[in-house]
Amino acid sequence: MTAVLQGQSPTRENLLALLAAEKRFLEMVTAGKSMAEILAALCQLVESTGDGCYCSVVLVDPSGTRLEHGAAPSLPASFISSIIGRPVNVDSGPCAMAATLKEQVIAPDLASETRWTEYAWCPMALAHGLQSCWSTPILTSAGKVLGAFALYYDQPRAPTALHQNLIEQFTHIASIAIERAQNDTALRRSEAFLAEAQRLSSTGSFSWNMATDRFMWSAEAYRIYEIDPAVPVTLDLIATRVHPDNLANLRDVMDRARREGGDFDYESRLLMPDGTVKYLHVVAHSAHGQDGERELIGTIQDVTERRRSEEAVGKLRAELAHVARVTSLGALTASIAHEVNQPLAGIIANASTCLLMLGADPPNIDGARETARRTIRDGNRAADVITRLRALFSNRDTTIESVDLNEAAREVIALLLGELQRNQVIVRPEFADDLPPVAADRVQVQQVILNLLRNASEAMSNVDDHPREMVIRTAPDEGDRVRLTVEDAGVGFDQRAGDKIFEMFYTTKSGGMGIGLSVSRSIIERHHGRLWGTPNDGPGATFAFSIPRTFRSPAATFERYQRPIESRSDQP
Amino acid sequence: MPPRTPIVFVVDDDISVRESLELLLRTAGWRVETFSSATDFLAYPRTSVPGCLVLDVSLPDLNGLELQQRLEDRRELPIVFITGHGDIPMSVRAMKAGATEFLTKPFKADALLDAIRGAIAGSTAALSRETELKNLRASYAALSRREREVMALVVAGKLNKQVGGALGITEVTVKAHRGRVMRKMKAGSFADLVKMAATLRPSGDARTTV
Repeated sequence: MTAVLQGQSPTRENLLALLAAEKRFLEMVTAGKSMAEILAALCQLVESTGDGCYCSVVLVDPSGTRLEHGAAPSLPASFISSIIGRPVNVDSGPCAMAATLKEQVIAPDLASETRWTEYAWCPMALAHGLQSCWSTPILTSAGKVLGAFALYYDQPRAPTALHQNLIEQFTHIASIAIERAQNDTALRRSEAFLAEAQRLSSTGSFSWNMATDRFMWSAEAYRIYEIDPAVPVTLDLIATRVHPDNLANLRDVMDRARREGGDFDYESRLLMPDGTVKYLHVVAHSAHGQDGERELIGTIQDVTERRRSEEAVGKLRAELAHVARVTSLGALTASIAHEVNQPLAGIIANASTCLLMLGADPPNIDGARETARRTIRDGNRAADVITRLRALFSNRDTTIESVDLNEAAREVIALLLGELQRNQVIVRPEFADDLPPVAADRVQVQQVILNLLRNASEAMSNVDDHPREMVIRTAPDEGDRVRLTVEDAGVGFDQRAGDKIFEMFYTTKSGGMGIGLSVSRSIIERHHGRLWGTPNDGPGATFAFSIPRTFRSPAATFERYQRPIESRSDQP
Repeated sequence: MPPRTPIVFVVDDDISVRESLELLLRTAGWRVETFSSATDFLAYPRTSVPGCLVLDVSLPDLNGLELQQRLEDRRELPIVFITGHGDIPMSVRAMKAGATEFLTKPFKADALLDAIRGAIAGSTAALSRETELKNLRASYAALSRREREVMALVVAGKLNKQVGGALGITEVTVKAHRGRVMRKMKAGSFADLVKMAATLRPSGDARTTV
């Protein structure tokens, strides 16, 4: 190599040496040597040609605006550090200029050089004993600037054709080394990002080759399944973790993926060896892999915590609803006592009559029998009242059943009759005749109706200038829904309060806790319905709710796996 | 006059209560009329038969206490209140307004029957007082002006001589008037006559002083 630059024309020996050097560098690149190492070796090789040159490689930073250090094994650190960090423009210096213009910049004699005065680059270089500088941009094959390769001499000098030949060769090798290193960094960063994102979101990814039954899992997928990443994934291994109740669903999904492909979005559960249960949300898509074989690619998200907090929130809601019910129970005591005492009064009177008839001379047996029958009837009536109350005020889990809103409303009216009468409220039911049933929790819906009726009744307690009339309407609503409306002629509410009236602890009543409407709204929303209120044109307000006829439980999402988001078979 | 069976009016909006009470009270020997509202009851013609009203407090349009107010002048119709949810202020109000009894449902049949018996006795007494007063007024109306003047002074404790002096007539004439008064008023003794005058006075003051 020492003779390369000394001869005026390249000899066979020179060319062979050059080829050998190039081969060695490419080997370093493919062996994965670091960019700094390769660039430093490159500089040292050029410097070892013995014509007194010093080499440096500067890089353009990822934003493309500043120079970064690449390699400069023989130049003084003070010289390099005054170049690093300079802006990439034509005024910063020869390397910045070459990178900016994507052209070679030759400064054969720095002492007479007039460029780069703004940064006083020439005096700085001269102070370090450098007299000439040839800077060549390092470009990718696509023409993007990666940096610049510079040769410095301690005497004024211009490149020969041989120099140019060598420079071209070395910038090419440098470009490969830098590009490769940058790609590696980008890949590593992207992998790290992905792994971090998977860890943060508890989301693992997987692929399943349907032809070979080979599975690939990301690290997070292994963590979710709590399996050692060294263990190869098999269907049998997966089956040891899937919750027994979900195994059939897993098989269904796999069968369907094999048969028709398409997209999948479903929930499943894992049963860990220690007995804990994990909830998974799986989204997958079937595709053709690189080798043309069918693959199912997807993500597995561990939604256990979300599910647990949903359950906790659900429990709190239910408790609050119960508190609200018990609160209204307290307020309803008088009304309930009335309801129960009526039939009890009847029972006692009938039984007394029965005794009188039996004690007569002669005993009135037929009369006594009839009276006993009436006693039973009144007894059943009292029992009905108690049953209704127990159903309404017990603390139980949500039970979805077919509910006739007319019937539900009638029962609530019956329960409130005493209170409504005391408040001198006239109730006018306007029930739709052939109202379709809704799938709902009867008790919860009745609680909402009870709330609306009591609110309406209380809103009219100070009304004396017009009848205290309340209209309760039921009607089918658009979108396969059923609506119930309660219209009163009371004090109404300020439209400006808007949705505030549905907020927890907002109340306009002196004795109110402000939970009635808020609990009511949350009940209706859990039924995927809507509860709203509007002030009337005349006196009073109208509150209404509308619920769909079919109920979709938020917890019953497992059935969703049957519903492809987009299936190939659906397409024409 | 033929013996008239007392009549019990029951006003309650609950059918169990109405039907059971109707049977109980009939079996106990009274006539019973039931109504589901105060308005229905008010539409029923008045009778002079002894009786009472068994009244529920909470009724759809006009409530029990309001009906009691409307019946203020009917002393011959005592009221027994029954209620499904009585509170103290409500019962105090009812009793102050003259109710015989205030029973909370469910009540013992005997308690109701006793209350009704008491109420009917009161009704009978009120009716006979009314009859007595009516007869007394008729007798008093038959007295001449001079006889009324003599009666007023005599029952006020004046001696015959003083009466004669006050009216400018002789003591003998006073005696004759006094005898006719005793006869026409069907008074058995002088004390009787004094009592009659006292009975007549509250409502008949205007007439006695004329």
